[in-house]
Amino acid sequence: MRFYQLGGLVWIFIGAILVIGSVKLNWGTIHKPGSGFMPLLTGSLLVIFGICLMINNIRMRSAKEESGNVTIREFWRRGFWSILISFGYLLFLNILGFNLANFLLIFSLLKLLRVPKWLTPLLISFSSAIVSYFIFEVLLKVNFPRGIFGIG
Amino acid sequence: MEFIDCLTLGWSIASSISNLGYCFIGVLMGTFIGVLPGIGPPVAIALLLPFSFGISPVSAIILLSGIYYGASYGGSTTSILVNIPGTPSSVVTCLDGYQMARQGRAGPALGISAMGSFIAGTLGVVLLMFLAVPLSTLALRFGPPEYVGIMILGLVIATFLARGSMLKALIMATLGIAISLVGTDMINGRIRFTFGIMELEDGVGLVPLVIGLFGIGEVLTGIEKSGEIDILKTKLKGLLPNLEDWRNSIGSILRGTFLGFFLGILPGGGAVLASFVSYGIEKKVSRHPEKFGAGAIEGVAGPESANNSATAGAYIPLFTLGIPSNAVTALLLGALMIHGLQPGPLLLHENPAIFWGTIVSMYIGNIMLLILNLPLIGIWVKVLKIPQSILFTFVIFFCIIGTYTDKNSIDDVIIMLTFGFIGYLFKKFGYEPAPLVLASILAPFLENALRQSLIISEGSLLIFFNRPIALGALIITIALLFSPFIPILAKRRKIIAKLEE
Repeated sequence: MRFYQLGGLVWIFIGAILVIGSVKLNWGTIHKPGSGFMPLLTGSLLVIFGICLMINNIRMRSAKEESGNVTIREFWRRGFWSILISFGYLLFLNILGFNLANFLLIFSLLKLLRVPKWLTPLLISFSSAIVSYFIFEVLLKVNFPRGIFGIG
Repeated sequence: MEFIDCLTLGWSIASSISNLGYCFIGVLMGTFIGVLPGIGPPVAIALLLPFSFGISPVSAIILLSGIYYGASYGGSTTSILVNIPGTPSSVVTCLDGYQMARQGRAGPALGISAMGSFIAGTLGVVLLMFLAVPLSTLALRFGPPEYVGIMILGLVIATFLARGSMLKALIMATLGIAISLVGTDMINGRIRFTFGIMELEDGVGLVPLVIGLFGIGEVLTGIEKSGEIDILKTKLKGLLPNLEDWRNSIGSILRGTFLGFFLGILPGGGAVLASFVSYGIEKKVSRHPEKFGAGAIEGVAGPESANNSATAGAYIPLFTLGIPSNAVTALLLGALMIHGLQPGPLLLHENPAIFWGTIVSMYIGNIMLLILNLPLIGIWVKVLKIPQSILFTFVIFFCIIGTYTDKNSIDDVIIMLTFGFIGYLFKKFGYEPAPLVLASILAPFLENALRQSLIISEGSLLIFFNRPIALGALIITIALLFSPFIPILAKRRKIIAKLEE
């Protein structure tokens, strides 16, 4: 089985979870459907569509082309790290506070996305942190974590 | 209420200083978002949604609507000057708009695009105004079975018109329903599919879902292909089209307006489909089809008019039935509900200020857009020069902040980032996320209506066949589902796919 054929299996798996979960939730009766009624319908449909997709992929030799150009090297290089930095921001938001975390987030992303030299990213991140402080904290009065330094 | 009274009411609301301000901010942001490639109106609206909580419902809808139709205006700028569409609905404008720019006619191309958008946008609002009231009165007679039929039909049309494989679009719609099942069952309060995560008990929020799928997903895809945008160096002179340009374009503008409006009503159809179909029609009716693709002004005027009036058409199902037809109207529906309003036929009768205030603001917004787009074109061109690395950084930043401020919740940001990664994978494997968003919004209403119908009929499925509207909707649904085996429908879908290629 090739990588692109796994798509069908993913949907069958999710569909199966819904169907199994629906049993616990109680289907109810056709006169009075219960909480599990819709999950049963949805899960069954996903399983059916997943099977159809698998059959379709096996039948169509060109399915690999249809499933899109899966070149993820560049994703690992920058996309994956962007996500990781964003999750890191969430971790540090409570510790460092909103402003410092913003500064670090923007600076790291700018460097990751190859903004040349150091001064430009530093200036952009510094000014963005100040502007976002005024917009979100002063103007919109959003309650952000202040962090251990109390400057959030 | 008399028609004139309604318009007067709308005018009194839309012309207040604050609402004029919201309208201006909306269309300005919309144009900005439209100009920038890679960020669409759904992301912009989702990002602004949390900020609209603090203002009145009508102001919120005026602001968010401004972004929607403003983006249609701005999208053409990048198509014409850079050959990169700012929004998906401006893809087709690249074909002739960019060629016109290369021939030194960027000015008339941008000018006719703005003028066509203005005419179509305004006429679209007129059509919306005249059609919405009678349709909403008709919709008042609908019961749960009719809603089940119409919602299922809406979802299937959205999958039929989605790009790529219909099977994959159906999977996306079903997955959207599955996502909506997470959380508390609205009828009997049971918790479903939260896997013990307390934060999921309220369900998956619309804001993290949309921002993740459309915002982060788009950025991650963009990061792979990012490079500097090469703007065509051309002098922008003579923005006002000459008499010959008008003679060649006026028919295309009017055809695009009507076509766009009615295609905009269809779920999943909207501005993208309208622009492609308009281009196809213009090429067909033209005396010089060979000029298309080589700088025919009709190839800019028609699609740009169609995509603008389609935005007005998309409001028809939202205001008359309470059913969104695309991701943007789904967000508008969410915004109305957050403000405690139930979109649907009753909205027009119980809260006419919302509808008429929005309608009149759209007239004002279209005039603002014309002013913003023509004299300020030089500024929009400069916006294009923002390096993509900086742009992507700020999109990620605003996605995080926008999601956080929705409920002051870090969990929502985690959900958003997760959906961002999933959205990226969807793009890679050829899945269109729009049917998923549409289905996740419609599913709770669909589930309620389905369960209510079965309770009313005491378990008899015949209730869906005894009611003419429900039956009609289901017959069309079945025909669309089996479209690959119905030659005429299969051919139509292939034509749409070919046009979009």
